[in-house]
Amino acid sequence: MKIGIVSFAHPHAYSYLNKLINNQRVDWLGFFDDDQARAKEVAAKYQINSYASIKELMEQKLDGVIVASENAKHREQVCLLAPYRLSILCEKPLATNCADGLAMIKACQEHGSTLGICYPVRYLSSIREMKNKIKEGVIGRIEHITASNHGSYPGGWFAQPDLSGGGALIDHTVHVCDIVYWMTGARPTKVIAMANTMRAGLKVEDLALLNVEWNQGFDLTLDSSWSRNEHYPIWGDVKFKIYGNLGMIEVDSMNQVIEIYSNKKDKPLWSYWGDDMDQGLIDSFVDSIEKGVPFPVPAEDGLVSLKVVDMAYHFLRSEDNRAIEY
Amino acid sequence: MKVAVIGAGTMGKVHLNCYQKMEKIEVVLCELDQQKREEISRLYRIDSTGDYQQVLAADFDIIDICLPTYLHQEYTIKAARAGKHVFCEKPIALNEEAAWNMLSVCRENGVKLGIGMVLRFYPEYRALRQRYQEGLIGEAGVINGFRGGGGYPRGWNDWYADEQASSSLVVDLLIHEVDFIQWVFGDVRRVYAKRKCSAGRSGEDKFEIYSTIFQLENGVLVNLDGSWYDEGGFHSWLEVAGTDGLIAIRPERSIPIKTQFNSILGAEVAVPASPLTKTPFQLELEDFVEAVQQDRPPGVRVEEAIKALRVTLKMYQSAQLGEVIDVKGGQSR
Ligand SMILES: NC(=O)c1ccc[n+]([C@@H]2O[C@H](COP(=O)([O-])OP(=O)(O)OC[C@H]3O[C@@H](n4cnc5c(N)ncnc54)[C@H](O)[C@@H]3O)[C@@H](O)[C@H]2O)c1
Repeated sequence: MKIGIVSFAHPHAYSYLNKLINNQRVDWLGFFDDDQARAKEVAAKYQINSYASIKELMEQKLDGVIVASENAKHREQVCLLAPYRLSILCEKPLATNCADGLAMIKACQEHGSTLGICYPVRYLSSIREMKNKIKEGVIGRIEHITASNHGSYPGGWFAQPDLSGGGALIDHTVHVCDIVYWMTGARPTKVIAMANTMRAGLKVEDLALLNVEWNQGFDLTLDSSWSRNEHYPIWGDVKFKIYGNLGMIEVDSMNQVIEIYSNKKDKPLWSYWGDDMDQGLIDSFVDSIEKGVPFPVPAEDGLVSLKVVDMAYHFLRSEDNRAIEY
Repeated sequence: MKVAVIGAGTMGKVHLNCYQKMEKIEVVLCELDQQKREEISRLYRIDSTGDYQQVLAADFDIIDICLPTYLHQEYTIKAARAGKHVFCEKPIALNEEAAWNMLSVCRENGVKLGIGMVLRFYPEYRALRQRYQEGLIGEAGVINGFRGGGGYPRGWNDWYADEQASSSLVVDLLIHEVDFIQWVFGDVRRVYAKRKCSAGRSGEDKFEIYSTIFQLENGVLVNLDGSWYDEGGFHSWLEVAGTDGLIAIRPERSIPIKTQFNSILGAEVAVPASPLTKTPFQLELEDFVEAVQQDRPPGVRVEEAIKALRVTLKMYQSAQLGEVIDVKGGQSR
């Protein structure tokens, strides 16, 4: 099968590429990157074909393509890819706003391409187990969820609002909201947000707290801040505390680590040994192409979590402290 | 020094223990429930009475009020009018009006008022404050914290479950962190709170959870949750992320000794403990006793305890209205 990659702007692209290289079912790989210096580097390092445009890449008759460009470029690039009737997998967030996301979905529908979204957290065993327990009803009806997706400061285009669409809020909110949606089927109805910028000179928020109400009667408090500094022993976390009327489930999905204190490192390390979520994601992408079915996480799911982002930025911009209810 | 502890519930017993460890303190108990009174006075080998009037008439220096919150105002004012210094458990009162009233009556009668904002005496929280002030993590950006666990508390006549008597979990529990945060990081500007609570009395299936997000005047963001779920036992934690680093108080780093029993002996609970030469409660009570002896203000000023009460009451209100509430004014950003 022939797979392409559009852009290595998002660092996840390198992890996806490694998994694709090691996948025996993938026998051809090529890519397009609008950053020529980066394109040269990737081509030389991984020995794969680089193409000068999306059109040239598409002339290779691909079965699937992964879009890992800057958030703001997703719309244009996915719309360019849509006419080639293939399986498209888009990095999260789907776009910088729901209107763009919707346009991408429409374009793919019109041309018979399928559009999926990268939500790798769904592939973690602890998260899957949490979902199963909720479905089994072990803690009864969900009353409240407190979650965090803390991270380190990613820098680069992530901090350029015209390319990213925002800071820590858009970057991390979608992961947690997707898990809540996937687990319960609930949709967001109200969002309160508080954001701030602590890193000097930054043009986007690096700190964000949200409270989201969902149409099944529970709410979610979420910290999506880039609050981990360079000397923190791990990049960040994805944590959930789910309160039901019968009990509570607590998940710290990155808490599968060994601790390392080395004279050769300038900080202690929590070295993660749990599931490789990108592996699950890429395997599932390749599977879906082989079987000729759409990727199991459709772009429509990406729209639900992106809605929370839209609502949060709307709340932050507006003068009204009473959130608009949807 | 002669001290009368009023109420021998959870806190009353803690305070009695502390006074017994302190030098030159003579302590007496006042407790309404006769059976409890006799039991405790035998256990601690102290005198006791069931009559508050008797306490007021006697020559006590300090009256230490460990009663349910709705009784704080009445008992404090009576003590002050009888010319006794008053140490009162937190929260100072159910509402601000009562709290200011307590303070002004104490002032009029020339007696000191101390409020049990005990978190300020916890060594791990003091260490966090000191390390922060040394500049180790730069300027604070976002704070996450939690307090609770151990199930729904069963106080006397189930007063914790009665909002009219306790002003709910947020005022009772989260006031500790709110006070600590305002002490170290600055005043709270605006709050948003969500509350989930089942009806009924404390017991196996009563639950309550508060989840709050708020912002300080200086922009610092805070997520503070309080819960009366089991949570594997009562605990609290706090994490401060700043421009140059992160400081965390974590439960798993605060328990140096754990005792476990073989299930064959019938008991299976592990009993974790954080022993110290002096507990935070002893430190806070010693501070107040010293304040009285030296005629200096107590370590925690009453105005600050009231400021923390105000913030938690705004959280209570926010949870009812579903809106962000400005602490100084009404509902604005
Ligand atoms: N600082 C802390 O960490 C902390 C912890 C728990 C409670 N508290 C506070 O301490 C106060 C007491 O809480 P508690 O859990 O100990 O309550 P509790 O219900 O366990 O005990 C109250 C006691 O007061 C007695 N009592 C009631 N009315 C009386 C009266 N008129 N005269 C004499 N005795 C009377 C009751 O019989 C009972 O023994 C509350 O304000 C609470 O918020 C503080």
